[in-house]
Amino acid sequence: MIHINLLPEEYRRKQRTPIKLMLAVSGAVAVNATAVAFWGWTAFGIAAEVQSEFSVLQTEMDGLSPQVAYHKALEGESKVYKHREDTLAGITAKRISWTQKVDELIDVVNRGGDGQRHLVWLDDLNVTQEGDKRSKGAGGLKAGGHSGSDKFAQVANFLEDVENSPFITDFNPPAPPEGSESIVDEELMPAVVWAFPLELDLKTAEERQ
Amino acid sequence: MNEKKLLTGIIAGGLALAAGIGALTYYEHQEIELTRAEAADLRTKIDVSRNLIEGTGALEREVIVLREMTEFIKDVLPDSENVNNLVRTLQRFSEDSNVRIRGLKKKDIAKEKGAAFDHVAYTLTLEADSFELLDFLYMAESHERFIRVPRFKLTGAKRKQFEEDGYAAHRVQMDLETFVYEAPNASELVKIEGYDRKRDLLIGEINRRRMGLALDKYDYRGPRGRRDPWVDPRVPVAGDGESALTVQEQMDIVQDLVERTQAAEAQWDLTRGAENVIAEMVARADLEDMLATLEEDVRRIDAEASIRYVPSQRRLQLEVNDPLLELRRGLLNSEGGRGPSVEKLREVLEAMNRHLVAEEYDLMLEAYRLVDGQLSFVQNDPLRRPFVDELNRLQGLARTVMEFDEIQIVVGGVAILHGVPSAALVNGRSVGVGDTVGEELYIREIRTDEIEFVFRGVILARRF
Repeated sequence: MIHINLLPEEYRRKQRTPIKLMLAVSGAVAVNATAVAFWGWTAFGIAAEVQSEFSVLQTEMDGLSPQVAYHKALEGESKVYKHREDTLAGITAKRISWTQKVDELIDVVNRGGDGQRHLVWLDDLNVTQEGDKRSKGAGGLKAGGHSGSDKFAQVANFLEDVENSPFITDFNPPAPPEGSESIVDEELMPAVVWAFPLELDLKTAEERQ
Repeated sequence: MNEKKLLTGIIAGGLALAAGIGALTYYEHQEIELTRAEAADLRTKIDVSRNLIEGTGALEREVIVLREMTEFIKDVLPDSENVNNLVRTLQRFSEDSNVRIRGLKKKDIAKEKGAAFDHVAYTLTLEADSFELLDFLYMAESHERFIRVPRFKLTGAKRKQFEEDGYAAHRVQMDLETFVYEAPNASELVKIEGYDRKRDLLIGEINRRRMGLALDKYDYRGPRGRRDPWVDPRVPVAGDGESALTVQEQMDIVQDLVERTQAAEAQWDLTRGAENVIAEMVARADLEDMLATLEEDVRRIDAEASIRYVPSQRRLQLEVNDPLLELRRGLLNSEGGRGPSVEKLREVLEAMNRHLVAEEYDLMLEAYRLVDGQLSFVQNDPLRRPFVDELNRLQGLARTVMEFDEIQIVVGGVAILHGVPSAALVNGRSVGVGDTVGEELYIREIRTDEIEFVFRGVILARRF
């Protein structure tokens, strides 16, 4: 059914926003205003502060970066150099002056008083050192020796002289004397000769240090 | 639109708007958290960086020291070019040490991954005696560029070889190694501000580190009169089954002669380089003096055959006899037509007299030979003539005695009676004082244990 209000405007009942609508609008506005305010506080307050702090840190980091790059470049260079130095130090530590060792061995051989203490000569000399595939451990020295005397004790004298000489400093002590009578030649002096082995193991580079 | 719809629209719109703002806020929050995380991360990085760069000063100093060490390493280790020169260097070492290189082979060594240096090695086959080998080793091991010997094998010369050749040729197989270092280009290095100033402050540390890497160099002082341990030192037994001199004594004698020969050679150089005639005469007189005693000793050693140790024999020949011969030849040539000097004549005369006292008549003739052939130049010099006459007299005496020794005289017996001339049975014939026994040989006196003869005007006795 259609209602028609024929009253003049001023007599007509004032039209009012319904309370529910009012409450709904007010509620919506309040909630959204609060949400916007919270968002604004987050976006322009906290976020800006965090961003600002980040920018400060970034600036600080930017300032440090060249120094870090310089440090790392130095570190790289140092590593390469250090490796070389360590390698060379290792090489030099392992090196043995064979001039010195052979010279000292010749000294020992010549200290026999021409047979009074010993008269020794050698057939050969075989020297190997760490790094050589044929060497075991730190390496060593092997020689076939002859003692020109019928007294085998002279071999012991010689080995004792070896043990008491500077020559032995880079070697472990020799094994106890052993040998066999090898030659008897009446046309030579001395006529009787004993053969004996001379075998010495090198100390390791650390032990030699 | 009715109220209900409006209400529904407002509520729905309000909720939608609120949801949108909520989403926006949520994403904003996420963004903030992310930024915070990044900031925290950055802070950590800053802390790490600060800690890192705190050590930059020390690292910078270390790099400076290491760079300076590089200069040292560059001096110690060869670069590619030096390695190419290694063979030439070994050749020079072999020439300087008299070592004969019989073989040279490059060893193939695979480059290790991450190795600091390239490894270069050669295997050498050599021939040398012990002291030549030591010279070679010394040159290699004390070379300015690092060379090491990780392995070598020496096989001693056979007795027959050195008895025949006069020198010991030991066979040696030796590995020689070095490491190649290519120094980095300067452009590859990190630029360090104020490098020179900082380096100067670190000189002490640089030197300390260099000392740590420096190789101990052994001071090899040569053979020093020692025998070669790889040479059989036994000597042939003498006739009586004993050797008069030990090997060491023989070596010492030869060493002494070598040193005196070298001194004589130095004196000869001094003579030739004399600034004036007086200085030359003084130097020459000293040289004659040195040569006379030296040659006398050499003659005695030769006559006694006391040097029987083969290396010493060889040394005596090469380092004493040959140089002395050369020296005498030089002296003779320098004298030209002048003949021997008074000093030389006196020295030879004294040497002959010493041999006469020692009854070394053959050595008297050896000494005389030093001036024989030159005496004709000084026959008319009143100053040198008396020396010449005396030398000739002694030479004649020595020759007479030696020829007398060669005459066969067999004494069968003697008869010495009072009041009756003594008689002797010589070579199966009865002879008395004044009788001729042979050409120019007369009996002068007969005694119980010897007969005195006159041979070419010289009185000589033969004991029996």
